[in-house]
Amino acid sequence: MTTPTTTGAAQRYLGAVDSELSDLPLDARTDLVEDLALHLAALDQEGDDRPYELRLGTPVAYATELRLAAGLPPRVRAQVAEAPPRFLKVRQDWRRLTSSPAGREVLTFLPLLVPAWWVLRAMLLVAALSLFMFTGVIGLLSLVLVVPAIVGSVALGRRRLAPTSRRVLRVAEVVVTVWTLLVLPGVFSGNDYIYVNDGAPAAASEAFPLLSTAGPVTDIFPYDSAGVPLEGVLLFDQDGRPLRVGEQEWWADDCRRTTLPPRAADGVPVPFAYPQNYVLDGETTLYGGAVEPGQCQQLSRPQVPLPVFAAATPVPTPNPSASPLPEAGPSPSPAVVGPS
Amino acid sequence: MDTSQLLKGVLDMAVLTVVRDADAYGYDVVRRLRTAGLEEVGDASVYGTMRRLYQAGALTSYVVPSDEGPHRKYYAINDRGRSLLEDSAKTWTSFADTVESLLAGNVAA
Repeated sequence: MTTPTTTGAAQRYLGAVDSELSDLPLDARTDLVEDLALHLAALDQEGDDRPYELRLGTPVAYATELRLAAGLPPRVRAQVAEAPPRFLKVRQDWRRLTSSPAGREVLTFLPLLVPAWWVLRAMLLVAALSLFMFTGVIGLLSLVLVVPAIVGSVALGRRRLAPTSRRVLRVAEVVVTVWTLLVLPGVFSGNDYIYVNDGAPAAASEAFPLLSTAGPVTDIFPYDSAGVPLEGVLLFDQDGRPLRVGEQEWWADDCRRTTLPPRAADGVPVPFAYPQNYVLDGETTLYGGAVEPGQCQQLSRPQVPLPVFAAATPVPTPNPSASPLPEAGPSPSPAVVGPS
Repeated sequence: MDTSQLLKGVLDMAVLTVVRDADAYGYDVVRRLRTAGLEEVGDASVYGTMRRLYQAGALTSYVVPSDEGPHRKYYAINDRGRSLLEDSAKTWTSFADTVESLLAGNVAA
């Protein structure tokens, strides 16, 4: 699909409308989105800087009106089945369980375990404190604290508490138990440090639309079955939407770079052709200092293990690390041709 | 009176009339309709209508490259479109005459 406009606002509006049309056949959807892209480009040339939402309506409203006028069916949205609230079912199951003979036996036995729980909760509390202070479970502090903690916990258990205090105690027990059980496996697995939050985004966002388990994806390096590095590759998801990646904000050499999209046959920039081309941006580093001579390194593909596929003819030995990425200048343009 | 409902009924005819006079690209069709007085016409309605008329075989389209900006997709009327426009115009004229007569108080007792 030819993309006649590449402004961020236009791309966002197009993407949102495209998403609303995602249930349509690909040819209809492609035609409608291409028409809209041309329309946005024409609007941009008017010099009117009002947002598209103001001029055309929200993407949802635009897509709805478009479907209606084009005689296309309304958007099919997933129907949520009416089901009784889950908590009611859980409560029924619990009552059934506790009223059975085996359930009654267990309920009779549980009070005998209460003193053991008083001891265990004291140990959990000490473990939680130790973990919180990153001193390890079996540390001097733990040994010093555990005995008075058990004594205090048992004494507390033997007292008749007011309802409010009892509720506070129950909440504290749950918090301490959950915290300890969540972090404890990490300690025993031999990790030197416990990472609670590494700052990586948990969900895709406009800035980082593609995530892997390792974090945000900022570029893609394709290879063919013979291990030959490919360039100018366009990737689309299961609904035909182009795969977009986030912008690389940090470089090992501290040099500032911007992406340089290749151009289609009609001269229109094609964003997100992989791997992306980068151009060094200015003479200052990412942190505002002057770039030293020789500081900025040429980018290269990451070294990756590649499988060897069965081939009828000999294939060239892949050597990914020897395939430098173009830092600037012309790059192979993908054959991007819009539908007629 | 809210003209948006009326507009829905006659948008096919309005779009066909615009491209009958001269081939036009989508943005141009919207602009011409608004200049003609249909200021409430929505951009999406026009594009949807053109898409439907194109699918129905009443319009053809072709692409013209532009040196100054993105290429333009022009729509042109064909014989089927002209025939459709002629029928729609007759229906509209008859309908408008009837309503006009009604408003003038010419109601049979």
